[in-house]
Amino acid sequence: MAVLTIFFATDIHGSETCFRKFLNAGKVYHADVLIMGGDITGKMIIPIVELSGGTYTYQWLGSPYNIGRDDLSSHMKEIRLAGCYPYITNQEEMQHLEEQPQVIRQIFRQVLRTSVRDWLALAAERLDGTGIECYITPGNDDDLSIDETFLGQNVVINPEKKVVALRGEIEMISSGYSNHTPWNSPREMDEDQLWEVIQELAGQLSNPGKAIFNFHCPPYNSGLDTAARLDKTLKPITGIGGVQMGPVGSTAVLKAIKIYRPMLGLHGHVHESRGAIQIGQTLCVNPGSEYSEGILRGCLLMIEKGKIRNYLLTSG
Amino acid sequence: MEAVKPTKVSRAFFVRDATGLVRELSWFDTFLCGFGILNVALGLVQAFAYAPFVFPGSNIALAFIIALPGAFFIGLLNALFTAAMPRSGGDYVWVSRTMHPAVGFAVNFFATFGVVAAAAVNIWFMAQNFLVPALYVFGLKGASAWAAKPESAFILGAVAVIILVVIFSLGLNVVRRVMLGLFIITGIGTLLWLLTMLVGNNASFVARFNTAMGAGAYQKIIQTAQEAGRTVNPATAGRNSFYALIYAFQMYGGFQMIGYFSGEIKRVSRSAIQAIMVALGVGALFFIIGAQIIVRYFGYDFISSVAYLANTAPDKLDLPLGYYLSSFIIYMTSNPLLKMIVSLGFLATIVWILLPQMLIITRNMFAWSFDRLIPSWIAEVNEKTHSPINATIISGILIYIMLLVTLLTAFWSYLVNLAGVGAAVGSLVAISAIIFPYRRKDIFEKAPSIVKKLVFNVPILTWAGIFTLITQLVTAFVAFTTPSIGGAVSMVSLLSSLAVFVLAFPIYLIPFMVNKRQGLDTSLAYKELPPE
Repeated sequence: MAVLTIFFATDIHGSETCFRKFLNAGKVYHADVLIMGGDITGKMIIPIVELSGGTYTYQWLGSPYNIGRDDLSSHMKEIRLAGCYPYITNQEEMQHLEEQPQVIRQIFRQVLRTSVRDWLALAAERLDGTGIECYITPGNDDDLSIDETFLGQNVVINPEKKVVALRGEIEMISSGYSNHTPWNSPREMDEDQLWEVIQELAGQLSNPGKAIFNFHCPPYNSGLDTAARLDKTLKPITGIGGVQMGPVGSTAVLKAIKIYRPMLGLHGHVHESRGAIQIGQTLCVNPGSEYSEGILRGCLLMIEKGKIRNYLLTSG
Repeated sequence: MEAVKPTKVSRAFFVRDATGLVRELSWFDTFLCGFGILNVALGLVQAFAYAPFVFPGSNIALAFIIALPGAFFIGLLNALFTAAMPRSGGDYVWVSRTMHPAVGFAVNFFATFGVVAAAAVNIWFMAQNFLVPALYVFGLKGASAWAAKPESAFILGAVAVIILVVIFSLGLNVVRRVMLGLFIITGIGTLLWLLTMLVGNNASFVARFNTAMGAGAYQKIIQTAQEAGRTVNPATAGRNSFYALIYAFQMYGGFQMIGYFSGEIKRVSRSAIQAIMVALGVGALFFIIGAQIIVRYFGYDFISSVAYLANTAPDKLDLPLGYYLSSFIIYMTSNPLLKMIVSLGFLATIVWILLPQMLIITRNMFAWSFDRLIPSWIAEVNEKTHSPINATIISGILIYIMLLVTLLTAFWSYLVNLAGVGAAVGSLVAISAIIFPYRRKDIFEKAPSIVKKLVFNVPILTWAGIFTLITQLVTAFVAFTTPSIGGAVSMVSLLSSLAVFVLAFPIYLIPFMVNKRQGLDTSLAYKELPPE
């Protein structure tokens, strides 16, 4: 069995810069398999308001912009590259949107689907014929409506709730769901439910000890899940010398790793908790995320004879 | 994209339910965190223990004022770099991304070595200068006398390291609780110490000191120091006040760390920079006023004489509880409760500083492990306690080894001007800031607008780098031209100091080559991926 090189990245939250880097990572890092661990869609729509006379106005990163029609596409590209969604509207609709949050939700679904569809097309264009396998799992922040965009895709596979075999050799199970968060994101469940999902998937593995558990949420209190503690208003709690941090990972994922002892755990979810740790015989990795700066954090993993031969956290 | 005068947009953005959309910290929240890191009490006693001896006639309050602009630019550099790369984890990554990973590692390795050495020295000081008076005022005179013996530092150091390792093994929440407790004790002790001086005056101190140490003891110390060679040349006092900024910089150190944790929050904005500046300003105010209060209360000649004798002829300084101003509380009041609170406050303050130092050492080890420069087992997290037990134990061992080296060898005389080499190494961070906007345009262009602000058509980050570089070079100059900071500058001593920095390169290159032979190119860790 030859060495299998996997590149894993996660939590790019709509950053087109990071997604393009992800697609190029196979070639640069000589990876056989690319895995994106979830939270692929952005969180923010930037309304660009059309004014009379072919001009547009919007605010971006704290600065106001007034632009002409000729500059519109370049400005929209900048916004997309950073992980936000430009949305062209007018003053009348803006007023309507302020009063109709359900309409905003619909617009979100529409832009998310369009964006994922565009990305999948780009992935197909870049990876088809290269021999590089590509798996993209939605994460807890990704709206359920994006799942349909993966249907019928040949180059990119959504491995959610499936057993897939990387290069036909190494089994991987995946779940983008997380335990509950203060934000009530689209893919959250109770720990008991999450445990049931994992159990069902792990039950389909031929050899869990040689498998990869691609679970968006990191194991509880593992050092890969340390995030800022928040008060009721979602404001970080500060103490002497800094922000108070605490574990936010999943007890179900921790239990799964301890019971099934897989070869590898691929995780994300907590951007600031980058690291690689050993839980029993399992190497668990969270490459973290710096998507807002356009930096793709990831992890290169070399697997040989059912064992992790080496790994490297990357920052590309 | 260029911003122009806008037509008002009613909403800048719409967000959906997604994780991570936390409220930003107010500048005041952030300020409180940063001010907590500045250790006013420890800074004042350490500055007065050395600066009046090394730089005779220096005005310490003035030194704190002179050092203020330099500290401002160091703070600004940290805040802007963090704003540009909020989750990157500090100078290791800043320099790696801007210059080269090997240079980034060397800077970080040197800084970590400095923190290990500082922790070892702090443990030594804790035993000699803070524990001894605390035990004494609590009535444990036998234990105090034992602790004062030089050989006791071996045992006390081991106990301190073990306690540190145990606290860290219990997890970060325990560390934070201990820090909070120590901070409260420190705060109360410091305020009462300053208040005691404020309500008293020099005459009352002289009277109390002479009552405790014998008639004329106060004048005798000044006279003994003069006989031992202490002189003050008024012509050099001004220059020496400027040179004393090297100590002021050391005391200011830490406030800029606000930048590291403001990166944990969604977006570093003006509030983080504002908080850094206010924390520095308030800290400076405490240092400057505190220094004035100390001089007014104890008398400059007396403090200088104590520092002079302590550093040149300790056998002639007959002070049973040491020469740090913290121990002088026994002469300042007859109230036993006040003595206890202030002594305990000072003991807490030196223990408090050890905790962030230990945090920095273990955090850096984690970063090196992730970059495959040291074995991965060092960063393993204990399954039961979920704490980085191996890194913690190794940090404790390193600190203790450094304590032994400090106690048993002339190490510090070889590593002269560690501060000077440190400043030279710190210059690399400044140079990174200067060139970052031009060398890493891709990251710079995406940074918040405050980072991209231009002053005379040059990015503000570059200006911060230029002034930080000047500050570091001035510090290096003072360190290299002041033999009393660590002994005479010789080729051997200079190379000894540089060796620590240079040693980092083989530490970086050997694992690099080993990993490469095994098929893993670790240089890929920071390789830029094309975004097209």
